[in-house]
Amino acid sequence: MLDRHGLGTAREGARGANPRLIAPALDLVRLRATVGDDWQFMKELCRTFMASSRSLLEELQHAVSCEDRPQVKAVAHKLKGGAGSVCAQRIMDLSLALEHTALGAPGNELAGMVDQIRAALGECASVVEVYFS
Amino acid sequence: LNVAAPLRLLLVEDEPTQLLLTQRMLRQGGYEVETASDGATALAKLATGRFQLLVTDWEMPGMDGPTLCRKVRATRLPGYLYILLLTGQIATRSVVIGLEAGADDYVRKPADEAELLARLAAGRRIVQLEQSLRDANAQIKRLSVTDPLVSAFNRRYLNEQLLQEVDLARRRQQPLSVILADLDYFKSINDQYGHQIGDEVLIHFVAQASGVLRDEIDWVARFGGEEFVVVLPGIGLAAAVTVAEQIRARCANAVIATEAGDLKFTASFGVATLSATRGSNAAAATMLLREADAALYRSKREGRNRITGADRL
Repeated sequence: MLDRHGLGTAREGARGANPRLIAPALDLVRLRATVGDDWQFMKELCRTFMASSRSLLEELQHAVSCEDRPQVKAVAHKLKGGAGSVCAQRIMDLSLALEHTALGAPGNELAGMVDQIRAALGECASVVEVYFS
Repeated sequence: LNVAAPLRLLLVEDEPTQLLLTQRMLRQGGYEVETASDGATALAKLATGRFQLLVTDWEMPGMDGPTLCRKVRATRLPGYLYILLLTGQIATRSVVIGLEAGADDYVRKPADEAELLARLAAGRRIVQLEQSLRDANAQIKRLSVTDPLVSAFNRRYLNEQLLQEVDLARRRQQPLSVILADLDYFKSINDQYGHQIGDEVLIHFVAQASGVLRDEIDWVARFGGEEFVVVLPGIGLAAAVTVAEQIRARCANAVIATEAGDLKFTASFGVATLSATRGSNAAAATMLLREADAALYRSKREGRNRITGADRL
């Protein structure tokens, strides 16, 4: 369970695999190294991220369905920044990919990436629920 | 700017998680941090002039970081604002755009705490250096227009500022009065008590006069020797005579303790109001002082420790 939530050494055993697939949803070890042993702040930060990213996900969904590609790019960029702040590596990677491909990739590919982000966000929510409830 | 006091920093970031994290870094770095989530709100806050440092995200809805930088640089602020851009842009061209827009420095995102604080420390040094230069300039300017003994304005300031007052009074069609004051028997004071005590009397006169004047409106200048000019914008002759009477009474009632015993002093006053509606401002100012001087002369001639308005000439 610790590995799955980024508290163990999940990366070490996955050499050669697609980093997007093995990146932890929420790397709490790295986050703790960044913000220090301030559990309360980590909790506040993660909860802020969850609230913000849920809203951004809705914006993404809407922008993709409207084919508003500049907006897809802008929202993906914003989501990437928030994810980077809490070490949500998988969401960060997916958002980066979405940001880079937003203007050119087919619509169904973008929609697929949004689905992956939604799934990764769901995993983050589980981690937050387990550690910060 | 107190060097020990925390600098006020405005952090502009539209993404709440990054805002929270960066805000915490900056507070731990000793900065007093306020936040804004968009460029327009940031500009409104910066216009208050309360901030010395700006840390802004690059990509924001509505107004991006470089646009915010350009608008800030086009705004007149009381002091230098050091701007640091936070950017996910990695291309050199983007960095150049940010710096050309008016940013002083940039940090790539995600920001490393140590790097961010080190770069801001460099900004702090620049802000503090600029502030100390501004303070020094203000001090030089203050000294250049202040009489070093009595701390009233000097003759140079009188010559320049009276013209401005005349100009303003004429444009606003408002009265402008001056009181010319001369300490009575000042030479005797110097001879009897010494010049040090004479200097104290001069200082005392300015203190008594300042005590009845309106802050930031009326002002006193040393005309030379023991003569002073009090300038009263927006005040007509009758009211100016009343002000002169208040100063006269305060001087006459004051007691200065000296080693040689208590010292009392008086002053004579001439009061005049701007009347010339034609001619140059310089000519009108000269006329105003000339009328006040003639009135003062009459006060002296009629026994001193009294006031004469120019209407009695």
